[in-house]
Amino acid sequence: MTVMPSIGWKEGDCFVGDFKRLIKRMGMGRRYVLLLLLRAPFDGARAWMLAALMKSVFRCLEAGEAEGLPEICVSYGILCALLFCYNGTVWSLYAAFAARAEAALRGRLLERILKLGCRQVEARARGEWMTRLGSDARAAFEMMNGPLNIPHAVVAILNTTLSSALLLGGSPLLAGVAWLWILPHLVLHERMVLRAIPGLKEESQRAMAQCTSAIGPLIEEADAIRIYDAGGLLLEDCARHSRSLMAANLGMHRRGALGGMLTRIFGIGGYFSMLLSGALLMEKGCMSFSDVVYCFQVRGSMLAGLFMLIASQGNLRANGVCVKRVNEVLDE
Amino acid sequence: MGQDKMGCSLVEKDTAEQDRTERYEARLEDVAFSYGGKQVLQNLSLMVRPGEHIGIVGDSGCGKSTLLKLLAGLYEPDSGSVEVMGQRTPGDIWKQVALVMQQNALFPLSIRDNITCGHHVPEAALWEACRGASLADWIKSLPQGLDTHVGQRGSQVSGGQAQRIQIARALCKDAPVILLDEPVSALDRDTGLSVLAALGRLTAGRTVIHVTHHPEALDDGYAIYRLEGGRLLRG
Amino acid sequence: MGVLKKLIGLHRILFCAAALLTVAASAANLWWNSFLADVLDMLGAPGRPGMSALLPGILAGGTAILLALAAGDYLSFYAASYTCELSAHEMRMGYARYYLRGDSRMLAGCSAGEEQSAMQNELKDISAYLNESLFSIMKQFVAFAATAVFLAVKSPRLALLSTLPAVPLMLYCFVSGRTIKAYAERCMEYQKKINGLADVLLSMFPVIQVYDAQWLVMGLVEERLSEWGRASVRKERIAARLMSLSGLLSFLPLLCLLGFGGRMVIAGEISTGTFYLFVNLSGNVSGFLQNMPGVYAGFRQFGASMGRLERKLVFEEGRGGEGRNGARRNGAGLSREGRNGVGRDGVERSGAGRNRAGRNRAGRME
Repeated sequence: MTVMPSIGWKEGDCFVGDFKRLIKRMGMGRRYVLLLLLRAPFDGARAWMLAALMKSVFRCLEAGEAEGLPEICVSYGILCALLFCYNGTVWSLYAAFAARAEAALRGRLLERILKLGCRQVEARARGEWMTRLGSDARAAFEMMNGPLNIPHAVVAILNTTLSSALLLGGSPLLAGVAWLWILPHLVLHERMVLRAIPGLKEESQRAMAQCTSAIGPLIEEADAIRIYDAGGLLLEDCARHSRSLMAANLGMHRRGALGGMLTRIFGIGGYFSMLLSGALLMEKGCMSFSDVVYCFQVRGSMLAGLFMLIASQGNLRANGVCVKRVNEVLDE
Repeated sequence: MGQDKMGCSLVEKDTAEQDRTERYEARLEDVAFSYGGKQVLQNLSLMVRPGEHIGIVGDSGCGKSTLLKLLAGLYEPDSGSVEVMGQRTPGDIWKQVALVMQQNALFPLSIRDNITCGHHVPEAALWEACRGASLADWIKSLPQGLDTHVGQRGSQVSGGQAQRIQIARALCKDAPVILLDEPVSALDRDTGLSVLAALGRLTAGRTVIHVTHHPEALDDGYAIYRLEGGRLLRG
Repeated sequence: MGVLKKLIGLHRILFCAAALLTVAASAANLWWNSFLADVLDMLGAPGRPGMSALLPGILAGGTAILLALAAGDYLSFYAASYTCELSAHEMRMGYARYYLRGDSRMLAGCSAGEEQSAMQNELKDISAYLNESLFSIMKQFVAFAATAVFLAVKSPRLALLSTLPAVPLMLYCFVSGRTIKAYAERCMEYQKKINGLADVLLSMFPVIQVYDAQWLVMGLVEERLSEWGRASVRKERIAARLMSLSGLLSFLPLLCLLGFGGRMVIAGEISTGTFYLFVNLSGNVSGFLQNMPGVYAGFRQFGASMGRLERKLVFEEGRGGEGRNGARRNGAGLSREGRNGVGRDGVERSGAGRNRAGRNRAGRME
């Protein structure tokens, strides 16, 4: 993938490095990679199938062959059934593996905590421990099996690669136009959205832990609060932490909104440019409408793959922060 | 001071209402209290005169802390009445009492916030309370002084300092009735003695109800009662 | 749903603004698709003028719609997120107020760790739903309704033919959703037990260490974890199979649309632009129908979570947020007495008569 360096996964990236470390220490590396690879070709194959279906249908329309349509629909229907059968089998194996891994991770975390000293345990607030044992461990599972995380990222890479090749084969000019919009989009998305996510997520997790801890004194020190009329003070403390959490989350949403806007501008801009370029090619007789539709469809799959990859990267970075925290506990 | 079973400073039942509020700063009348189906206190009456120091001793789990919480208006009795400084509603009783507890009852905030509890207290009064609780020198030695954070459940301060902060909080409130719930039982002997000295400054001239299972923590000025089987007996 | 109503009541303007922006973003999307169909018909029309003549108009229209789409998307997303985050903040504060107003006897029976963990989990679920689903569902619904009407106007027959296969799919999704939910609930039960165990472990930590009870606890941990692990594997396996089948079934509406729509184009009943518009937009309708059971189940789960929390959320009457009606700490020069009865934190206090305490404190404090 030529574009990957701009949004790339480097060994040093916390979400790859930390997850790799975690999988290694759980002793599940090989099986995980095998299942991941088995899942990977699904989207690419589906993309090719859809594009070919659309092309065949529009070719029928151009030729005015109404009788060919049912045959096309039935054949692709059968192909689709076989593909989903394969996917269902592999996915169920993968999901079961991920669930087992999560159970093992939680066990390992609890075991590790039991081996720590009192001083180490008390160095962190209870809310912090609960977060690490609960939502952080969950994030590791999400990374392994959640939507728009590692499996989707791998599937998306393969899909994007295959779709790029199909688009290039369909029309090099339209492929060039498509990439002319895709590349700046990726660069801007990386700089304006993705880079900020890990910091904001970490801030959000920290604020969440503090916010949870701030509730404790309202229960534990209830008597002192009533006698000394300290409700306002404690409520203000809760509000401060809650506002920090809100601010950290809003920072992420702001980036998300920005990402959505960029996707709209570059996605529709690219589509529009391709449509006009396709119209010019059709005018010159270099392409038929069914070929243009095929290119649209393949570009759609390529973009879907890329957006999936981008969205997965955001989630992976966010969850990577949690996995890092899980590793911290296991390292203690 | 008649009937032992009825506790201290007993008064005839038909005493006029006006007389009651003037003569007694705290009174429990025929109080019964159960907790999770278990009868903790029954028909308990206690009347405390202004400036009186009452010590209540008893085994662990006999209901001493519950009695104190009833007096503080934190619990409402199943039957009977609780009155402190003529006030009967919990919110009003809270304004009349200060409480120093056994456990580390500190908020995870700064020393200042723990003492003032978020209320406006002039700096001079705040330091006076700190001196009264023997905290001033220690606070001055801290880089952030009064703004030093005490940590979750007071983890950044020692047990003795935590108790002194509680005493400073009580001094700052300057309430007429002081309730002490085993304030030194979790401390070692030396720390306990120095905290007791600070407590002496807090309780001087005020009405005090001190519950403990260590009678030695109570000096001669205390009238001692024993809580047994949900009833108060003259100790 | 009382909590949601209260939250909407507290931030009526924000909720309305976010909803309006969502509608506007959906309208812009339809505008773009309609424009696209027109362009395709224009380009495919026999004897049309050359591209150089058509280009300026197409470019101007396309750019205007593009900008509207981008602005609509950004604003609707941000407004929805801001509203949801503010609501989540209100809920956290509502939780805090509940403990402040709680009865001492009830609080004495509470485990802070359990309460904290419950708060974190429940509020996290609810705020995740608010953020990811509430406005997204609204957006999907608006898109569904507007698209259905739009397509029905363009070609009622094709609209019906492309939507009908989504109805059995919707039923399938309903059944599979319920099955997955049943497994997920079982999983949650075991999950709760593990959370409770973690809480015990943390609160009893010194005792566990002193009495060297690690292995005892670890035995319990392993037992609970294996129960939960088995339930979790079952759930994931079933979900993967059912959802995969649902993916396959979701192909049916598209195949019907292509088969029947293609025949209609060849028969000259609809234009290629309209057919392409159907291919682009029919997903809005069939997708929504297909997602409906999930949406419904999600909404019910959200309602149940809200219902559970209802008694634990105390909102300030007539205002949102916290402590806005009182003096700021150490700032307003109000003494302790001055604030008694004000209820800065929303805790009711009576302003009953002053007595000795009042006099003393008046002298001491200020």
